[in-house]
Amino acid sequence: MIIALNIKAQDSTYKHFDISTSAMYWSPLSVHLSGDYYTPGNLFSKFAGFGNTIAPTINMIYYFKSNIGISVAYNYMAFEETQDEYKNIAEIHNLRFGISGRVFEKPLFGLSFSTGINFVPNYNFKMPMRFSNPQGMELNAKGFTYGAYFNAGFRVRIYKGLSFITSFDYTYIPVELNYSATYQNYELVQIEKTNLSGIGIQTGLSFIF
Amino acid sequence: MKNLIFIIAFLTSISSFSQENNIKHFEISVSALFWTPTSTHMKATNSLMSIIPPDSYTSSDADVIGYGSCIAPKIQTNYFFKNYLGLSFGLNYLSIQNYLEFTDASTPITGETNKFHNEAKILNLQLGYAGQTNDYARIHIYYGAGINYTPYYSLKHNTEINTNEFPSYSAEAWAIGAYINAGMQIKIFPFIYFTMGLEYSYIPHTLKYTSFGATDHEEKTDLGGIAGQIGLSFKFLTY
Repeated sequence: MIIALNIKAQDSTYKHFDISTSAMYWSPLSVHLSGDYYTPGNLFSKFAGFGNTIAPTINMIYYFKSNIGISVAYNYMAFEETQDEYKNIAEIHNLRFGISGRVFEKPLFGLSFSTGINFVPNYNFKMPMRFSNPQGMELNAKGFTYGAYFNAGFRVRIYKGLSFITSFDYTYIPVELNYSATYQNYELVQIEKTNLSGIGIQTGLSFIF
Repeated sequence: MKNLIFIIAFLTSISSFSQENNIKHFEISVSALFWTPTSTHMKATNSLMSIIPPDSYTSSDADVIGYGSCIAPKIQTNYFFKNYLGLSFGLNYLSIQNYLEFTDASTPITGETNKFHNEAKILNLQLGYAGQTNDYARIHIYYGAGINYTPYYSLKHNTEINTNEFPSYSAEAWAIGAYINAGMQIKIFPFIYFTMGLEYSYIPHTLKYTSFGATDHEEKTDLGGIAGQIGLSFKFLTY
């Protein structure tokens, strides 16, 4: 039955599913996330930036027309950036709901586009600080936010419904990170108006059924 | 109501005619650009740190650099001689505010408000080539490239705390660069398409910041950026 459904799906005239798993090499566009700036201060010093990451991504598209569908995707980004004794770590969960389309569908080749809402149900940023004390402390920001995503790429059919996919990805996610930390009786608050925007290159496999 | 039905029927018929015959036609698009700068100078830092010691006064340290990202309106008209051959004229306007205001309880005058304010306004005119795949299809690709002319930009920068003068220094001039874009259009009505795509612009430029009429400093940068685009396109036949 699956084979039959798959053959129908390949005809691109039937409602069908497309599931893909991929790895996304992702690079942030904001100064705060991309970092590489180091701010030693009189009272405190910190190292900003979280760097690039490779994010596992799973994406499911339901094509209600032969080449237009709705998509749901999830990817997980983990960051770790070190400099001297500073180590910044972060994690971002992304949930995407959007509209997807395929064009130029040839037996071996096709182009695809997708756009929609990028919901971040949970982000967690940890940034150590030194406050006139080598033991230091850790600033932590947690929360949720949302933005938009845009994805464009192509597929090369490997075998029946199995395809190799690669795409370019762009996200636009403004955010206000509210860091906080306590040290002895001191309380530190850092408000960072920035964005979780970035660009990514995604490669993986997709299966149509 | 009759007039409305007539107009819709007329537009539908001419639209179908133009699509089936792949003849000359106009396209007008209105969209939103989700724009982010690519140069470090244009990217924003907006950071406020407060230290609240046990004796309850607050000491603050702020940092506002650059301008940042924005959502910008865009209007574009394309004239297609053939599907793969068209002329494009676009206009978009970027208005970016990087603003921070806070009160530092530890300053000599308690309750004094500190203000940082950077502001960028960039008008872009785009003239270039436009193409698309099968226009009669429910879904098709568009693509384009050309010259990005910035007839006017205004960048204002205020690094001083408690200054009454805004801006501390500013740069105003024109610039020129290039753009490329590509995306997809989905037919949602016979002559109305949902448009989504990506656009990249490269506008290398040397900013000349002035302060009180005198040149303060120069900054080599790129006024371009990357943007996602979402909007609607309307296609019309021309005679």
